[in-house]
Amino acid sequence: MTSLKALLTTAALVLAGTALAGWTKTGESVASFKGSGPAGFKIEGKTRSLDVTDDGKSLSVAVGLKDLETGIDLRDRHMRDNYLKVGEKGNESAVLTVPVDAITWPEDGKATKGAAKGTFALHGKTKEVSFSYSISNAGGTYAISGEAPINFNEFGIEVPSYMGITVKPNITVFATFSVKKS
Amino acid sequence: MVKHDYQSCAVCHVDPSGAGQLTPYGRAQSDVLLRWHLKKPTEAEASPTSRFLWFIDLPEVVNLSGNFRAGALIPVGGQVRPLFMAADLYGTVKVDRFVFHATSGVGLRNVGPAAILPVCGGDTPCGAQWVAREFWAGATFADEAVMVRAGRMFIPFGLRNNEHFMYVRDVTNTDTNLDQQVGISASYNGERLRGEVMGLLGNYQLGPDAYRERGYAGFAEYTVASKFYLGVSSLIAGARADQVFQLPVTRHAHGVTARWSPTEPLALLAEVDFLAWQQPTRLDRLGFAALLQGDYEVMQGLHLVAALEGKHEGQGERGPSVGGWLSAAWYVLPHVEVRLDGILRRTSRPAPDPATVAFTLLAQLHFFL
Repeated sequence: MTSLKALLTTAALVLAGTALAGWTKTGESVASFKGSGPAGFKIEGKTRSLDVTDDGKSLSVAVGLKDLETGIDLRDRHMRDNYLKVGEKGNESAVLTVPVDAITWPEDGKATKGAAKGTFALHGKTKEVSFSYSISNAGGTYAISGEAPINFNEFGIEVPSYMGITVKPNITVFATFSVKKS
Repeated sequence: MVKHDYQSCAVCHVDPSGAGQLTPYGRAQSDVLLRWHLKKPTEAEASPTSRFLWFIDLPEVVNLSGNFRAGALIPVGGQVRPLFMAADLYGTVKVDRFVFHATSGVGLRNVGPAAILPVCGGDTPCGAQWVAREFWAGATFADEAVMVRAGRMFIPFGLRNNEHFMYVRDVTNTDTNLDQQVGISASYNGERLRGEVMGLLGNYQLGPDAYRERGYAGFAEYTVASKFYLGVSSLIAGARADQVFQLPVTRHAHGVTARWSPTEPLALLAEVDFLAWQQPTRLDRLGFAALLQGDYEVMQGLHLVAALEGKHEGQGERGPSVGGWLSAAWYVLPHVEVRLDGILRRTSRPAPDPATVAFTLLAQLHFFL
């Protein structure tokens, strides 16, 4: 009876451990976006502020928008203050949440590419988005790159326009980071 | 602007391939990114002084500006020569997809190819002349990625560098100061590719018609990586007479260009052109022109520029002509640039004339309204 109890206790601990197994970000990460406008105008923003959390079922990739930079200070200020309104509550980050089992995780030493759906939260709104990804597994560290097209009209973001140059609402967001299962 | 990853010139310049009049966006970027500031600006907008004539707001369809450049050429051991380089007004009207652009100004000495009146030369000394460098009408398509134009325009070839008498601009007759021609052009500015091709119909401010060149010129430039652009250019143009031998002449220029900003304060520009001239009863001439230029922005608005250049015009010169430039350009105030160029050139001449070496200082004050 005692040994059965011990076995059940051990099994419960193992199962609980599996359910709570966490994904932690490791190494460098970068998130960026690319947009365009008339006459070949292009804009690229980049930040290293990226964090990964999980609740056991889904992975959430949160990109801090406060440090998003496009290479021109004035444009950064316009982007953060006038359009993304980063200073307002709930607008500090953009978050992509993806069910863990929607991703094909490669075995050690292998790589996969795929496409999946997740939810993207930005500027106080959440929408379903499709994204593509590539993952390589080196000793249990998964190096992930992904990109997703989004339309910022759908997130209630005003179309940026400055001195006759208007940015197109269709942009592509990118993220590159590594995670490890603990 | 290479440093700021602006491949496309069309958002900042009225000419879709760059140079000349700024758009309102270009005017604001000039103030924000190029002008010297004693302290880093904290205000949320470009300075109000970036407007036309420092403070005038114009209706959206009208874009007015001006270009005034004067200075002095100071040859070492020679006499200082004052220069009146440009005094032009620019006007552009943009209605929906249609763009109308013209410039008008006054020139003194050596403005012949761009002068309209009075006619001078020969026994008539050239004084002040009315100059019209550009006048064209165009229409944009595909979200302004494509522009079709007709009129007198810059020739699309090579780098659109400011130093209009550098060898690469001079021997290809493609400078933005005087070498505009009448023609029809189509330009494209995409996210990774830009280019323009122009059918050359001649310079109608030059006569008689036998001197006018017909042919084509064009360039294409591709974004290889962020802040790294590679381009090719090609030009073939023929006239029924050249101004020296009065013989028909066909000239070729075909080249490659590169623009690269390896680190934020530094921009590198390079151009190498193969040149050929064909004339009946004379041997074909072969030559080249090359430029390597580095622009280091010591602080915003203050540029140190070094350049090496070379050329050979295939006229029996003993070796190529070579030059070195060391320049400082200071965008000291809104719409104001102060510039000093030190130019050392060894100029080869056809045998038996010996090569000459000259060092010249060029001081300039430039107002761009």
